[in-house]
Amino acid sequence: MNQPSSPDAAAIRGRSLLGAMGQSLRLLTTDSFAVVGLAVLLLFVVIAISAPWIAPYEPFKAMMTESGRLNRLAPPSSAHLLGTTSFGNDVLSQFLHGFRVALLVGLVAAVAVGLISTIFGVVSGYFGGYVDDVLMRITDVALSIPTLPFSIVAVALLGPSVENIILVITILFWRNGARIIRSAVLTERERVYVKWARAAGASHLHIIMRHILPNIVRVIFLWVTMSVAFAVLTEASLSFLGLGDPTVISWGQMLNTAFSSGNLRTAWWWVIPPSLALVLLVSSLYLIGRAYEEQTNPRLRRR
Amino acid sequence: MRAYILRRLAQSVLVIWAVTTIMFFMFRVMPADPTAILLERGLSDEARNALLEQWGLTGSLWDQYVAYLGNLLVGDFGSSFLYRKPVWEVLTPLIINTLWIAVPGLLLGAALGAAIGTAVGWARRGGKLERTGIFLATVIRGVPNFVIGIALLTVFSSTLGWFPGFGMGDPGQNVGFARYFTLDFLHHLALPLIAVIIYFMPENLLLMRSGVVENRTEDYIELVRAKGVSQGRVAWHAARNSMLPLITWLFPALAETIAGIVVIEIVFSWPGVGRELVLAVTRQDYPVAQAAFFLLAVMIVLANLAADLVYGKLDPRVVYK
Amino acid sequence: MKNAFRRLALPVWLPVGIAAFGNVAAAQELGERVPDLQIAYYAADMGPMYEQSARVLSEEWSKLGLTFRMQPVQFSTFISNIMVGGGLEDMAVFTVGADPDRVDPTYWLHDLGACGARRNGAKWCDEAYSAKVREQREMVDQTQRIAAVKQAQQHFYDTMPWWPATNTVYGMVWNSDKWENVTSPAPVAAHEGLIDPWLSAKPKTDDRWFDWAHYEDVTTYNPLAEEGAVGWLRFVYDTFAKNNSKGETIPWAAASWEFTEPTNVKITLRQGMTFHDGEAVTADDAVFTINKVVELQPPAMSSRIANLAGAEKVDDLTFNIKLKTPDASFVTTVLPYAFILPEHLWANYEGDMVARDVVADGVAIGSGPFRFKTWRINEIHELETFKEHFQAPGYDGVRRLALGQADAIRSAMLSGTGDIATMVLPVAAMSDLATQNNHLDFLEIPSHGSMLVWLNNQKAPFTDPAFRKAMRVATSKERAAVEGWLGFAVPAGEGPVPKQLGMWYNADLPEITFDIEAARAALEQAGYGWDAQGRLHYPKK
Repeated sequence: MNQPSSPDAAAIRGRSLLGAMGQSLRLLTTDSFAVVGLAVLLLFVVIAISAPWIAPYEPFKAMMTESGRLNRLAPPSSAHLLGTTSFGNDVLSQFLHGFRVALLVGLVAAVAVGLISTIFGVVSGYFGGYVDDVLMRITDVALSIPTLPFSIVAVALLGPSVENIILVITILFWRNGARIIRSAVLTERERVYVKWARAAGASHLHIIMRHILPNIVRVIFLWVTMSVAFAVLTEASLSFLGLGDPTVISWGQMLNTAFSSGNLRTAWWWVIPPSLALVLLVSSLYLIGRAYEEQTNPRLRRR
Repeated sequence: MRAYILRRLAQSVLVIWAVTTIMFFMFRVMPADPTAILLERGLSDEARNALLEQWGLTGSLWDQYVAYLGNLLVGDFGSSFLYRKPVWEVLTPLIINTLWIAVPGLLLGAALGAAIGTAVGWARRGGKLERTGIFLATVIRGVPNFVIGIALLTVFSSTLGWFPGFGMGDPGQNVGFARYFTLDFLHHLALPLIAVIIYFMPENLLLMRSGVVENRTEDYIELVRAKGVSQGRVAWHAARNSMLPLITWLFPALAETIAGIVVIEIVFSWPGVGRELVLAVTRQDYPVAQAAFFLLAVMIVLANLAADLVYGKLDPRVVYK
Repeated sequence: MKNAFRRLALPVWLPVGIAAFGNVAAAQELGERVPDLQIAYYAADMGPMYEQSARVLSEEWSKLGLTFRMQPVQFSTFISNIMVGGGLEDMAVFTVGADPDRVDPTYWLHDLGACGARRNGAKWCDEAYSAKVREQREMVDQTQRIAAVKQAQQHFYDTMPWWPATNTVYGMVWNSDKWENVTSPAPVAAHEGLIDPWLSAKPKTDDRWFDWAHYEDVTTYNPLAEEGAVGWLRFVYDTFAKNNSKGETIPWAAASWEFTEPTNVKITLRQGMTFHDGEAVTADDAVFTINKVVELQPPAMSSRIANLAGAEKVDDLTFNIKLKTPDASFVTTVLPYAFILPEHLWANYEGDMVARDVVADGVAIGSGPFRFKTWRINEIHELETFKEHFQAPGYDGVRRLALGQADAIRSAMLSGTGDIATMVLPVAAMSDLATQNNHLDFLEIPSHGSMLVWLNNQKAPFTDPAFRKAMRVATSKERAAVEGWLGFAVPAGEGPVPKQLGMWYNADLPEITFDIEAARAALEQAGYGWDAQGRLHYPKK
């Protein structure tokens, strides 16, 4: 593009999106809490990827004792490091496979949520007017849907499967993100270099890609991080209520089986690992999210 | 001002209508069949149709929808398929039960969160208290509410035996309203209440802390400090001004949290409206499930409305258009 | 590490090895590949047993070179789409419960198997068989009927349209420090309304209320609207007969009954019975109730009353019930089910009787051993003992705690709040509880509840009897019982009728032993074959 060199060519050209992403990721490493969170998250990802290889047994395989009876509710031993369930399944193997489901649901849902809320937020905030009105009324409606009750009904309606759970989570969480991103866009839109760029004849797409998005990338990252946490929590709650995908094993489901078979209070080896993993995963996501929050608002202003 | 309120009200009604409509069609396209249990026992086709007609499940979807909206306008949620009585009668006692854990739990959670949040926010930045406070609050915030429930049950009910592990009261106790004022009831109330408090507190804490941190550097705080009043009073000034975002956040959060109490009710076998909603969904008792869902949605809409209005009242800078 | 590798390698090599050894038919001699088969089963909300059972059964079946798609289906969808809706795709693994009326063979032979029967979801239709099972229903002479029933089982066995895999073992756990004489209701599950253990239990302490830690609420006290076939309401409203722990139907409100004609039953009421409000129970009340039921045809009751034509009074305690067609199962299925309403409280009711809220109207009044006291929705029901009843239990009343989840039930049993638990807790968990706690006792209730394997008899490959029989031989009932049901189920007998039904069961049917090799051999004999990947192919046309 051939643009006048004044008032400031660099300001009009804006920043690259990738550069902004890299920068905000680097900023994360300056926050010690976020580093802890990232470390935990990394560990979880590694375990999730390697789960099928490091799990000692098939997660649903029934373990038998030498006398041919089912090896139920065995406390931890060398053969079963985390004991067995009331169905004679190896807890460690189920637990390791749980990493996959948690991260799969969390990441896929979060990416979908991030994408939809960014599109909604940017279009609504940048163009304003009727588009904004219509989109914001839609979010109004979406915001009035009680989260957990809706997911219960929707999953019961669509049938319990990982895909449907991801879908429901996406339907639920784009709305808050759209709001937050929209208000960030509103601020950016009024910046003076956007006006310059506009005056210099830059296209809407150019402005959005080079000026708006790079500057709100932290807000988007913040929301995506939080969405991973919400998605993991929602999947766990649904599975705990017995609405999880029965063909895969997730932590919420392990707890549901322990709960519905009445072994919650005795089989600690069965209950503690999935609970702890959930807490670790969600907390570390929140720790990362918090770092973004501090970044986005140096004064820690919210809303 | 009045015009603004009217417009917001109209908007709220529209939103409620939209949510109701979405919900109605969701329940109607459900592949499940409320007559299944009878079918398994040999219900004939004619009898099944009679039953469906009695439940208002025959005719075109549109007719059903119009009838449903009409009834809703006069506050009639229809009759429960399962209990064969008006939904209101089924839900009213359950709503009261839910409020017993929700209201005190949320208020105490908010108050405790605000108090600790002020302390953490006022602490030296980067100091031990601040860092521990933030870290703990963030970690606790990451604990799913059923894990909170399970932990409380395991420790205080099965291991220590201090509290009963389920329900609202021992059988054979008072019936009627008097039961809410017995020690037995309070004894049963304790654990679910604590679970709600723990569930709700961390977010309040973090929000309050941010508010205080933000305000402590403001000029007027310096002014107060210059007057030579005690640290505590200065902190209070900062806290008071941080209340505003907290309060506006609180209303919608309250509504959303009440909807999330479902899980806590189930873990503690608390006979509340959330537990009934889950049961109603699994039992295909649509009228009850729809009504519970509707009430929750209305609550959220009203909370958002209240938040907007209160914000304007408290913050003189806001001008209504 | 080496082990891990071997474990991974095994499933790859096994089918290839089998194919290499057993393969006689070259690929070009085979027909099309048998397509992937769908197995529908109750989704996990009905408990994890179904998933687990379907999984182990299909593991064995897949050794025949078959591939399966697992399809969990919600209970209600399963019933309306598959059981009565004709929507069975390929196969189903599911259970039917141990309802008291199912001690009669008609349910197993006719309702699940006759042409056009409403619950014949396996879509099998054999006219000769259907005629047989229809005829046995009308044989009032028992010896003759038993012979016919056994013959029908033989016919079924020879055709093998579907088969039971296991019979469910229920259980109950109770506080033996506080209660004694808690007796087994087998073969029926501990449904409410039975004599055992509910009426026979005796208190050992001053706590004279029998607390039943239960999962669900009762939904109504109006027996015309009650969905449960044998529910809690039978404590409040007397039935003409009851089932006892020997599986017999014994006199209850009726002192005796007699078929005076194949379509006419003369019933004599017990003397001296009263309703809870003090009014005497007479033949008028019974006749009023039966005629009202016939007139109103309440949907919830439709399956039991379809064959009733009406009733007429003979004298104060005697009346006749008229049937539309002769029905040998009348005694076991209708007499323990039909109840008596007090005419003086119902005759003048103007509104829809089926929809009447009897608790609000204060007319939750019957003549049963318990009198209605309180009900708090989804929390608790209290029935106090009606001392004037001829079989009043030796305690003050029974409570049903609607706890909604297993953990609370367990906790109630441990703390002594609950005296007995029969549902929700998996049987294995109940047994564990009793082993770990001195104050709790456990009893197994072997029942006629069955887990069935259904095949779509109208779709290939199940239209081929040879294929069905090979599948039957490859059905590991043992594994389903041990791994699916944690040992709390027993391998089922042969034929559709559960062996727990005693005299009705045809014990002469030869037992089929589980044998994968034999099943493969049978398939090969019928012309099936395997390709290089070990996948099963149809015979060449």
